[in-house]
Amino acid sequence: MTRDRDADEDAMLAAAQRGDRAAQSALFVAHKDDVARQVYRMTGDRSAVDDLVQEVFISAFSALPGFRRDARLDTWLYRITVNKVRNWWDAKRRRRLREDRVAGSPREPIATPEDEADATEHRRRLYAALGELPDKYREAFTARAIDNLSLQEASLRLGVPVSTVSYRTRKAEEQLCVMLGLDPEGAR
Amino acid sequence: MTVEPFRPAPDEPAVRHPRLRAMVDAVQAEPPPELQVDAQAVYAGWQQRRTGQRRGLAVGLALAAAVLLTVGVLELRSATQEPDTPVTARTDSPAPSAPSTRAAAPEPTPEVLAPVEPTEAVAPVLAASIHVSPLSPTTAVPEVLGPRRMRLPEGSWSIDSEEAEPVEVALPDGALELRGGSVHVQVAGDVAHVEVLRDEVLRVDARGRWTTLRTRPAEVVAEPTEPATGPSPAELAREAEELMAAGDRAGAIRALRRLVTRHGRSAAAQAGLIDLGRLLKASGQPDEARCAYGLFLARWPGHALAGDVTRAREALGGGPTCDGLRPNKK
Repeated sequence: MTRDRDADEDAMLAAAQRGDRAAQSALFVAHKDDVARQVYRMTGDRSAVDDLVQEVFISAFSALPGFRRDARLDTWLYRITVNKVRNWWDAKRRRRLREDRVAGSPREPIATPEDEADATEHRRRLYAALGELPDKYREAFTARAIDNLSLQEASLRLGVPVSTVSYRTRKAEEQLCVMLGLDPEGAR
Repeated sequence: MTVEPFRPAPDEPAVRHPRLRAMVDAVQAEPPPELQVDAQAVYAGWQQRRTGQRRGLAVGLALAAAVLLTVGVLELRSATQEPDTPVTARTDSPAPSAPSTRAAAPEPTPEVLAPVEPTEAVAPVLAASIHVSPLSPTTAVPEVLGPRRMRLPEGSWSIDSEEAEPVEVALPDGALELRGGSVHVQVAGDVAHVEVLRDEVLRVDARGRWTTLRTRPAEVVAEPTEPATGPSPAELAREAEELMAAGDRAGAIRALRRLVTRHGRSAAAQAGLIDLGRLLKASGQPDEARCAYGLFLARWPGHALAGDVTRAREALGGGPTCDGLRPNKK
């Protein structure tokens, strides 16, 4: 039964690699929710999701003929998503820098009193701080902490060793604590 | 001092700090928005990109064929692949016209390029909006890593990208990212020198640190202009940028207004409208700023920065309706 399903997926993938519209559509339907969830968790920006999901699949379909199946399709899509989101953060960061320069006023501090912060405020502050992290730290933290991936799964999806994922996640947490005004000792 | 090898425990927690954990929980509890984009839109976007890639491939193949012809590789290959072909026919004969060559040849010359069919292209091809050309004679060609990624070999190169979507250029000592800019890059050994001609580019060094490189004022003057059609979007954006840097807010606003009205759909106008909104707000013109943000959202509702722009507009509060950039004041 599983073998039949795998064979079906293989056939669908092969057809999609040839540019078959129905097969591409089926792949989109099968994976769109996962990609949308990843995008949202990686960016925290609802308005960015549609745009980025479309970008991910367009890039994926464009690169599909070269997909050699040495990785799982969802892992492959995850990496494309990570790259697209990285570009998005870069653009956002540069935009903010430019805006700061233009307006000549300092940015709103991330570390504000957080005792009474509600969930919305928590999300806003966390993503503001995530945006300040180096890409690799942010990606590791997002995979491990927000996407709830195990060390092994995050390692597979990000294409780096387990120890690297662990190290980056720890560093990310340290830096986030500093940016958010949390006592870093609480993370030890 | 020695560094201990780092061995994570397999079950180590991803987040240790309880307050940070609470923030992460809040993020995880939030469901993603309902997706509006559908398979049809993705397919249409993919087809559009593929068309651009094929066009780029065709141009690439034509260039490759020209290079091959120039250096005589075609003849060399046909000699090694067809030992029966008389060598004199390759080297000694003066260049005959095409018809006479065909008539004299006992068998048709194999089509060297035939196996490379554009329709079955697997190798990545640069997007058509990205133009790369050597600035000095060379037989080397950039290695295309993807539609918007390449690696430059030794030599001097000109790269021009028309779109705001990022283009990544791998260099021996890091990478370069263009978003609608133009650069000259000189690669020599392990070092690359980058000169920005239009807009700005991101330079990432081997350690992953990034800096923004911008056009030098002297180079702005040297760049060719378009007298027939007025300043290009990039020129207007640069003018605004320079005025901003010089502290001339009013001048920058004027330049940005020209940019977003004359080249409304250009990539530079996207950034221009946001800059304009910020400048107008900073100069005490909230209604005008609201209109600038509104125009951005009307033109690019699905843009990645639309959320930020919406928030910026909402932060300005309510106000009159807008006619383009102009508030309708009674």
